[in-house]
Amino acid sequence: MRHSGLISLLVSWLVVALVSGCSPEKSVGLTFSTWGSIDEIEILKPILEAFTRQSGIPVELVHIPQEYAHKLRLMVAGQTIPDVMFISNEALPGFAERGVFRDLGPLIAQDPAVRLADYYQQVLAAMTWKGKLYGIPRDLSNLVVFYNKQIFAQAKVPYPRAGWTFADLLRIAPRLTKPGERWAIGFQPNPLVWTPYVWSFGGDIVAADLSRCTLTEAPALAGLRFYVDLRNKYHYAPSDEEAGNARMTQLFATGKLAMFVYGRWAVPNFRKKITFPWDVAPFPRGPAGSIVDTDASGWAIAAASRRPAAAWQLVKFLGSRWSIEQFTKSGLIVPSRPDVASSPAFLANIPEHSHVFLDVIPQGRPTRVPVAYDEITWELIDELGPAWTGEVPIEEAVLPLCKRITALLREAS
Amino acid sequence: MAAGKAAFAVPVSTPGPKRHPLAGEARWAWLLLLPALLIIGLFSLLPTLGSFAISFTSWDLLGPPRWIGLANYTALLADPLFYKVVLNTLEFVALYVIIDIVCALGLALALNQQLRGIGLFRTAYFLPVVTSMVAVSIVWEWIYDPRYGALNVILGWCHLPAIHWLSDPHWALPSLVIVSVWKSLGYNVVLFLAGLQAIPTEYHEAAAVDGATGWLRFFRITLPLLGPTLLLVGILSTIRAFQTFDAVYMLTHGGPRRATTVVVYWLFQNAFTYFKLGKASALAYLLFTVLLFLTWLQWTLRKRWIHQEQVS
Amino acid sequence: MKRVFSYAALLLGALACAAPFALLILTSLMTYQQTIAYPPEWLPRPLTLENYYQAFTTSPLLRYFGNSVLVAAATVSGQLAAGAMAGFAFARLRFGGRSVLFFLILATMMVPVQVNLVPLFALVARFGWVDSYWALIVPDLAGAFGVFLFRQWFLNLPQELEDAARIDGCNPWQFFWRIALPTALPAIATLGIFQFLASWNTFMWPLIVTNSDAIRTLPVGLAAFRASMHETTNWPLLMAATSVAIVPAIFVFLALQRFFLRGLMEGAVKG
Repeated sequence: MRHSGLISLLVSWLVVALVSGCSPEKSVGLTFSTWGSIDEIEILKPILEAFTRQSGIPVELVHIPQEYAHKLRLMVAGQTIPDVMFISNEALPGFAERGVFRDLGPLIAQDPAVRLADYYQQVLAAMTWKGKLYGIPRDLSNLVVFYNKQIFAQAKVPYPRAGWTFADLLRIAPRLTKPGERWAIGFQPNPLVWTPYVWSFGGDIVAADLSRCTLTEAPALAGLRFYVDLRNKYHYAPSDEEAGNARMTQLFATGKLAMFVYGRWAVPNFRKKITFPWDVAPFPRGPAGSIVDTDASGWAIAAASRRPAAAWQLVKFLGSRWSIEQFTKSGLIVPSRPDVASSPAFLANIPEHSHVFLDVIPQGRPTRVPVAYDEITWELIDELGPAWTGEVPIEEAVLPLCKRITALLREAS
Repeated sequence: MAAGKAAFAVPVSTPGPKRHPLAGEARWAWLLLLPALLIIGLFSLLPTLGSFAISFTSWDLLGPPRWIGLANYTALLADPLFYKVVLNTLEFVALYVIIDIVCALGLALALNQQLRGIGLFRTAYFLPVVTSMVAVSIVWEWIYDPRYGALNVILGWCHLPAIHWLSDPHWALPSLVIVSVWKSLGYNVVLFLAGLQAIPTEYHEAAAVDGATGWLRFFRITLPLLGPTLLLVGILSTIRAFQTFDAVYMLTHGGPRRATTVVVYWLFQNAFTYFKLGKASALAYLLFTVLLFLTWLQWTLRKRWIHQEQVS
Repeated sequence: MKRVFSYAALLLGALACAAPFALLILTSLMTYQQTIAYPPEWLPRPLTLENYYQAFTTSPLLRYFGNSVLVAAATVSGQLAAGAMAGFAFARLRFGGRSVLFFLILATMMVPVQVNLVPLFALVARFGWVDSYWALIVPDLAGAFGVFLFRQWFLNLPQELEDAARIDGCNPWQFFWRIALPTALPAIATLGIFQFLASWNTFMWPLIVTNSDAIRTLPVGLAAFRASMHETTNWPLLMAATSVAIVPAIFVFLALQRFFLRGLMEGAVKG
């Protein structure tokens, strides 16, 4: 008894030191990681339940709402990588390059149930890296103009239609704007939203061969200048003070924006919340056309998965017509499959002109993803902030920014 | 904070004269040491060495690290952003340390005169110290809100123009300094108060008899006698300021236009956002060298100071 | 006159220190509508506890809270046990390599935590601890500061106590457990509160090693909650959640501030 105190202490230390060395028990089911809002998870859950009912394989959902790609990389390093991962085309190259994902080619070749012809060629390209397909695509994501029909009707302005131009935008904007109260168009500092202006003016952020930044060239600058003028010169878009606490989705939903540029994923929320009539139109044409992004996301399998067969079953199920229809019905996605895209699941509900999302695909352009994509995106948001608020002229702000981006591109090559 | 704790001094004496060992003394000693040695060795010493090794590699967490020699260090020194980050850090440290010391010393002097309710004041000053920086950052984000925030409302009362505290490149860093000073002020007040209370009252009484005025007494007596405390507070604050992270992460994310990217935030970004772990480790070692120098400076100066006091 | 001046300065300082907390509590009791009224209002009208209810029901706040309590309790116990035992050994027992070892431990105090971040993550990942309590607890179960604090304390133990222990024929453990440790209550309290606050407020490490809400502690959870409001910031709801993170630390401090302040003062003055 004299040593009991010490012994029990030491034993507990040893237990901590040794037992904890073993990895925690693995559950029998598949692990499946995804990002997305709570609403999105509510759409996903019944689909996963249907899979478990059909296959008998339980699925453990790992929901990572923020910084998904970063957390995924930490999980790879921690050897806790999920069997199946939802992945976007922006994050795919970094992981694919390092052999994190399984090449799906051989699996598809052996499996007559999956036909690549069922998917849009553009989304398959977005899920491909160096000639190998790494993900079965869920959706195609691109940008359109959401507009408030009520404001257009009140201002007696015809709705925007395919083929409308930046000049048209400048022409109708004053009639849609009531200073301090209502604005013609939204303004977001997010590169995703302003890149179409740059592209449609004939410019780009980085050169096609990813060797240097091209934002300082005339076409790109013209696009940026047009965008920043919408807000700071013409006041057709709200300033930060005027927007106050609200983001653009909320301003649009509360009837304070006549138009704003955004993606399909806003639709479920708008269907629920918006009481006025609204619709979508293509992005306006510039000197180089009306060019928006064609991004995609899909499901990949971990190369290190211990249950590749079960993982493939899940990915197949998720990519099936029935599953894609479920996602599509909610309004959340532009489906990766033409069969679903041409069905009522996509076209029947509001917005009335949902086919606009499909019409713009041929002119679309995938986002260029260099190795330092995250770092470059961060610089784009940070360095241009003061230009968007008008503190620094955009032409001045892009100079150090472009230098930095070029340096990052060189460093990576 | 690890470095901050180094302020606790090391007595050099060893216990007792020669004596007989207790039964099984050495064996017991190792048993008692085992848990602490295991944890500290594995999770502190080993990583410090590991970090040094990683700083010579290129590593993105997905593949194995690749040895590239001094390339991370040379790349850092060639990167203009590195110098911007260093300048930001120095600006933050200087503003923070000076404002903190002036305010804390002022409050400590006011507290150090047998007033009623000292304990209450001291507790009030200490509240920010014990709360989480993440939590208070959220409160300050609300205070800094350009439209509804308390600070701009107060400026409005005084008919002053509103300030974009966190989104104006000129104000973002000072805004972080304000939060940081507010957060740690109480800590330094307590340290100064301890230093002031250690000054024997005879000095002041003697000076009062000689007819020295308040300011004269402060500069001729209080300040010199407060020297060691001033040095301690100064160096502790400097070390703390070099390590600032939480507020940057919560309030500015290092922006706008990199105006608030300080060294530890950049280190974090490189390691866990851009996954350049070799570069991050090189940066960590550069930071370490600076802090090591400061700690060494503190120890030697204190030793000399104490020595002088004992001599005089 | 001088007193009036001092009081004014002190009051102003106290006001500046306390005002953000007042704003926190007041805002947390407002409705969302009131916080976007212009010009802004300061007093909640109507007064509502709805935000607290919402904070607990729409976010895993309770889970974060529980995780924080668990991690703090585990690391405080670990730090106390490991620190007291090692500190005692360094102060009172003789063994080969004592000064080298103590110097090594002391040296770790000079290394900023950020230096260890990357390899520590790699190590924890190797153990398979990413996104688990192990990652949050184990690396923090012992620390140089605790060892150092207890060594200081036990060095000051009167020699007579040790002599008495010898005469009674105690072995080192009995000397430690029956005689030395009971005198060390103030050191225990000081280290306990230091470690509690450090654990309760720590952010960077949990930010890196946690992915899921089930494991997150309050600061990381709070940061995630804040980031999740990217559409609109519901300030009163956010303030309610924030006050849940702040209030326990303040209570612990108020209850134990004597030990906390003494720990600080001793550290500062003795040097």
